[in-house]
Amino acid sequence: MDYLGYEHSEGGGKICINVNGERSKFFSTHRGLRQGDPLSPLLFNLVADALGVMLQKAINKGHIKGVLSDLVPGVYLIFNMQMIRLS
Amino acid sequence: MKVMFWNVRGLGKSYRRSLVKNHVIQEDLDAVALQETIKSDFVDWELKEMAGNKDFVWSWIPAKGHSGGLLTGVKTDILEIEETVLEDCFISILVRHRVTNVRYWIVNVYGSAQHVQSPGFIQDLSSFCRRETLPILMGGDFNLIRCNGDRNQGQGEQKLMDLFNGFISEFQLREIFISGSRFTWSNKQKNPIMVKLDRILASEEWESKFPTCFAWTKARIGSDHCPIILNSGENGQLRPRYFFFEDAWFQGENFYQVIQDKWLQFKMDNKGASYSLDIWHGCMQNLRKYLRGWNLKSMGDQRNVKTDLTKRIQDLDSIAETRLLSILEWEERIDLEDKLEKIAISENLYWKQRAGTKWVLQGDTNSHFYHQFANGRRRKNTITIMTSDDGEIRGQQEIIVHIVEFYKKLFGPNEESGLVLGGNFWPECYKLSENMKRDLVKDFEFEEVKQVIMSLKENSAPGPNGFGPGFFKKCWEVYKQDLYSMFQDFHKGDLDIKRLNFGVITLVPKLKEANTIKQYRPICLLNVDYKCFTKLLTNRLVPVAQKIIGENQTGFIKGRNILEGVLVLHEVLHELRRSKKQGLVLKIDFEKAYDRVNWNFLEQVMKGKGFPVQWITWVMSTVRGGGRFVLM
Repeated sequence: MDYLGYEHSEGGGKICINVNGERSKFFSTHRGLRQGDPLSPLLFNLVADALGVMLQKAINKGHIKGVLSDLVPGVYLIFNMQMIRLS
Repeated sequence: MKVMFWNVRGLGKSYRRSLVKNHVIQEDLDAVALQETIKSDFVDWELKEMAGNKDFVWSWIPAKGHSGGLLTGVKTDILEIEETVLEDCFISILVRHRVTNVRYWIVNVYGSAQHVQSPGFIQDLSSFCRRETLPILMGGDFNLIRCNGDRNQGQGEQKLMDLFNGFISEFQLREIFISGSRFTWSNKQKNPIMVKLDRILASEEWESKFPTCFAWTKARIGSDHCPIILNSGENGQLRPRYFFFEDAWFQGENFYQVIQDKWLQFKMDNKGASYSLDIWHGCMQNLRKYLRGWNLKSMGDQRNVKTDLTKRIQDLDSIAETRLLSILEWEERIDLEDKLEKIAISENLYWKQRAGTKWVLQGDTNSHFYHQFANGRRRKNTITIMTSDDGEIRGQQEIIVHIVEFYKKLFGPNEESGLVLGGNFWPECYKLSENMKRDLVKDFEFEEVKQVIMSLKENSAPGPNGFGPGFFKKCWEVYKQDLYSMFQDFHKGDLDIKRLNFGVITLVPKLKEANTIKQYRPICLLNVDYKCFTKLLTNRLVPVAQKIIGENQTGFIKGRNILEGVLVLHEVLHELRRSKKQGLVLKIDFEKAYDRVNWNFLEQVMKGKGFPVQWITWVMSTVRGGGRFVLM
């Protein structure tokens, strides 16, 4: 079984905005992960992982060097506290 | 803005408070000004009862022995209270309309029936009017008349009438015409004395701000005074009412049975449909329509009985203004009031039970909310003004347009970065093993779906379709087969999940005086049926992510603490300072990191890490929408 990929369609999910109890019309989104979607945090981690690997490669090749490479080997990505509350 | 002025003649009895509540709900009042509460103090639940579950802030003046006492309540969603002045015989509250920014005083007045005190009372009112420059709306029981025509019999005391008229002309107050009963008080005797004791006066400034205001009396029930309702006449836009499934409905007799029957019936009606999503949508939409009607009807039945009774009382009262009522008519009137009281008591019980179960169910998690509510404080998150690059934006519709434009742009198509990860970019330890791949795309088990539903958080809010976790957990037996069919189609790649994928964004202020859009945090509420799918995917991804996501990421992943990274950073800075080494620390802030994730790149990452194609398609269909994909 093989997948040929799928027909790309216009936009992902639809959202509307609630302002003081009144909702706007729905419109399509074209990028971004949605807060409130349980899957979003992990998908974000996957994407951010690429940045971690890039930095690690730069270290390996000697392009950059950790300030205390003897103490803290490798790369740390720290994410804003705010985001954890959104999940 | 709608306000009720009413001499309620005692709020000690629960029945009287329920009458107030009925007016609050029926008229959708923004403020209530009550006189003669004959109560020295109020406790939280009594005030809550009268507010009919709305957010009112209350101020009161205690009664002197068995007379007097004033109580004013203001609903704070549209009106903001800026100042409160408590005097002997009136309460003045300075309010600001959150949208139009108009500020004025609402003055709740009770003049003593002991006319020796009338000059002092008028003097107090005069000094207030002299002092204040903002518009004034004043109403209540003045216990004074302006002319003999304000009585149905007998004559008023000329000196008192002059006193009252003098006050009105000195401050150029306008009397707001009240339609309905000519007299607002009756001694309810067989040959009644009736007097116009209650009225509404407004300063010139107030009247010019609300030129189309109008007022009317309601039936004299409970008290011997009529309630007076004033509508300020600014075209109060009707807020749309959205469907919202109430968990309390399950308390109704046979409610669960009704849902079960209806679901089956809707499925039968829709026999032509074979696609799982069409069946699901058909049932959900019909159920929504049905419940909306059912709710209106069950509320309406009782309301109709009440309207009929009230109407008859009103008729009798207007007859009484022109001729004497017969004994039979008087007895009928007493009987009508008794019936109304009984209905009010049973309604009250319902409300109490309902409020009670809500608190119990939601338990401790809700106690913060409960206290806020009980204290009558309300988070001030009504958006009335926004500052943009082009200046200030006011007005509900203008604000909606502004916010929608902002988010359309934020979530709009982005330019391609052209960033392509090389074929051997990912080290082996970041890639999926064969076992992981197999586990990710194995068949969806019935139990696995059930577990997703049962682990929904009880008190989280529903998405735009209005069906919250409460519905899904309690009605599992009703819809389980239809939901599972959708999961099976999803597995095959045959489910157009975009049709479930709807969300509503609500803005919550990040700081107290938020006025630009960036100072609001968007909270996205998704439909629960859609979330079941991504939750199931998440459950499968978690064990994999723990192994294949770099150790350097500390956020979100189970078993890693977000603070770990912060701790390391702290140590590094400390060590740098101690050893006096030189170094460069960069803090990069991803603004709206979530919202800017590029879908193509996400797909690339998953491919690179060796996720199965089927899995990638599932994920991308939830993220990107996507049509059905083609099987070869």
